[in-house]
Amino acid sequence: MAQVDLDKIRKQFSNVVAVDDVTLTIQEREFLTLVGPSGCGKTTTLRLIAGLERLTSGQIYFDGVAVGHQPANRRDIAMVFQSYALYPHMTVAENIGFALKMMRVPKPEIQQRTARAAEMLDIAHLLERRPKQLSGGQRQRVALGRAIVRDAAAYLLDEPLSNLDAKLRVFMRAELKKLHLDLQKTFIYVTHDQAEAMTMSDRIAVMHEGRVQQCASPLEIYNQPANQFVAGFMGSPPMNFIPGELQREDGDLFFLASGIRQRLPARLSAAVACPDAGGGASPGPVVLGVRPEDVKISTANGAGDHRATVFVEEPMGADVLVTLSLDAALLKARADAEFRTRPGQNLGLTFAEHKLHLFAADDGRALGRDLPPA
Amino acid sequence: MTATSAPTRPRSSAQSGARIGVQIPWRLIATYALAIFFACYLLAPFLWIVLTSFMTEADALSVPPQWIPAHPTLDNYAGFFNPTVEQRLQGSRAVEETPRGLLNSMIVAFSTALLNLCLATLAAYSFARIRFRGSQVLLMLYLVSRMVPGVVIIIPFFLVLRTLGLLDSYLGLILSYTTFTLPFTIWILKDYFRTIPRDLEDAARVDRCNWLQMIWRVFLPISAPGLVAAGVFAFMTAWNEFLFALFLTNTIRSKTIPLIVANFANDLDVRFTFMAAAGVLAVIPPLVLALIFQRLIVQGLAAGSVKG
Repeated sequence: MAQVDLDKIRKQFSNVVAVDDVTLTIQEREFLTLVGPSGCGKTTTLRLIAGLERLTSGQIYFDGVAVGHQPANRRDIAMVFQSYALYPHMTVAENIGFALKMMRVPKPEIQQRTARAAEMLDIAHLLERRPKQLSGGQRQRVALGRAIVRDAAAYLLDEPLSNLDAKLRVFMRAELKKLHLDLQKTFIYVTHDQAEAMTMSDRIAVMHEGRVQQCASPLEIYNQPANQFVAGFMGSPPMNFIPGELQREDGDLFFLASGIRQRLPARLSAAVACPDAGGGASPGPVVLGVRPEDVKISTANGAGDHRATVFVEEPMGADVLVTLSLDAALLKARADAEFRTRPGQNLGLTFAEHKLHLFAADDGRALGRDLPPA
Repeated sequence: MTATSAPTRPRSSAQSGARIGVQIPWRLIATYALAIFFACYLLAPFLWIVLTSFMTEADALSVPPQWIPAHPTLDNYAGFFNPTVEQRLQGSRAVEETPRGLLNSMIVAFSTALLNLCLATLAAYSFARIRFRGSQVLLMLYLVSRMVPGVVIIIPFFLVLRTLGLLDSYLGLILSYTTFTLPFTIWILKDYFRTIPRDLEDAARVDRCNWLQMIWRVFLPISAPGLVAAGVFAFMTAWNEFLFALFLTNTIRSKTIPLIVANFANDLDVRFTFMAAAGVLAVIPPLVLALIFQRLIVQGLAAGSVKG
């Protein structure tokens, strides 16, 4: 296993810049997830690390050794593909042992390591079958087996769960996490599913338009997003955004929008007051961010800081998602499973003040995230 | 009420049963009739040749014609390998030349197929995997080159091969046949290669294969149906070809079986039974080939026709 360093890597396909100046360090034994929407450059980044694409510029280091010029077969990596990419003319055992065969590992050792990997993944009974005789879940395990049978510097996984049904995906998520704990190897995982990223990773690198927007632990990404894109991408349902303006009154900072006058916590107030501390912003146009679980709603008369009308409710079983109409804006709130309401009903709502986020209206950067919470 | 309504129910079901019973499946009958008609249309000439090959010349020429040999004989076949004096006179040189003609055809057709596969695989891989300026134009040019009738280019071919000293040789025939089979084999393989997911190549590279190892151990085995379809196509074309063989060969050193079969009719005494037996022998190798690779040929030619 190895530490993987990406140093200002860039990949350009004719006029399109797929990966733009990405610098990232993936620690030894770390589980790092590259997450982002389609076309954000996450798979290209993974393919650059694998050596399946050539760098336009920059360098990649495995344990300090530059490997950017090396083809895929010279780099010590194992990879799981989204399509599994099992060799259809080989049995499961031959698929798993193929890389070892190419590395001229003695036959008895190949058999031994193949059997061990198969046992780990609970596919020992499938070793003589061919890929077309397997279910999706079994194929996915074989693809994993083909990777873990290697003693590679890094293990690259390109959306390996995306072809599975929802139930199996949740199950395999836990299996993969356990596998990482057992193997203690460097895992670099690509997904567009923020739930996968949140649940499995030591750190998450959120990508957008070829750039890493933020790389941090899942909780930090969730609680202290670096910008409006990260805040909106991570979390389901996504964070509510309300464009408005800042106004200072009697030493307090207020957020003003149509139908909303919200006092901001000292942390955000300080960020606006001292631009150096949190990116800075003078009173003016901003975007207020609040997660659905931080919107408290109540049907009681006169309750809450703001008034809204119920647009629609979506019972989820464990809780209820309520979409609220607040003048022109629609907000989502997460309420207890027992909460009952009806479309058109007037509600009072309150934002959890210390959980509010503020973003610059021009470039979307988060304001005040580097200051300690109030 | 009950007494009157009760018997009506079984009657109505009996009526519907009768209606179903008399329904004639015209659609099915028409489908089968057409299928049988076309099967007869395709197979009858072949069957007639096979039956004639087991007849004596007298039976073959009898009026009214016989379909089933009255005096079945293997003499027509035996004559090719150990001709009697009489058979030599009747069949002239063609009788003695048939075994060698079969061998020549085999060598030329196999070599053409092999050379086609070697060249077409590399070309088709490039067209399938590498995006380069003019690739579509080139592909179209390959096809257009096959729109020119053979008779137009046969004289230039003859002159070129004579200059190269390749007339009446295997190599001359193989090179000629390759020129007009290669465009089609490139097209067949290009389409097949495009159906193979790129991820498999990437997986092989990650699994420590260099390019040649990837091609040899992963890409070509997966491409087997396409390769077989293209190979069989090249083989059949070379096996059946007549015009170029007529111009480019003149001795039994390189004469192929279609020319020799035609020779039976060129002699003063036309022997239909010999001709039929030679025809049957000429059909056997490609038929065996097609039967062996039947499944792969269908897969290869159907590649890309459906999502999958």
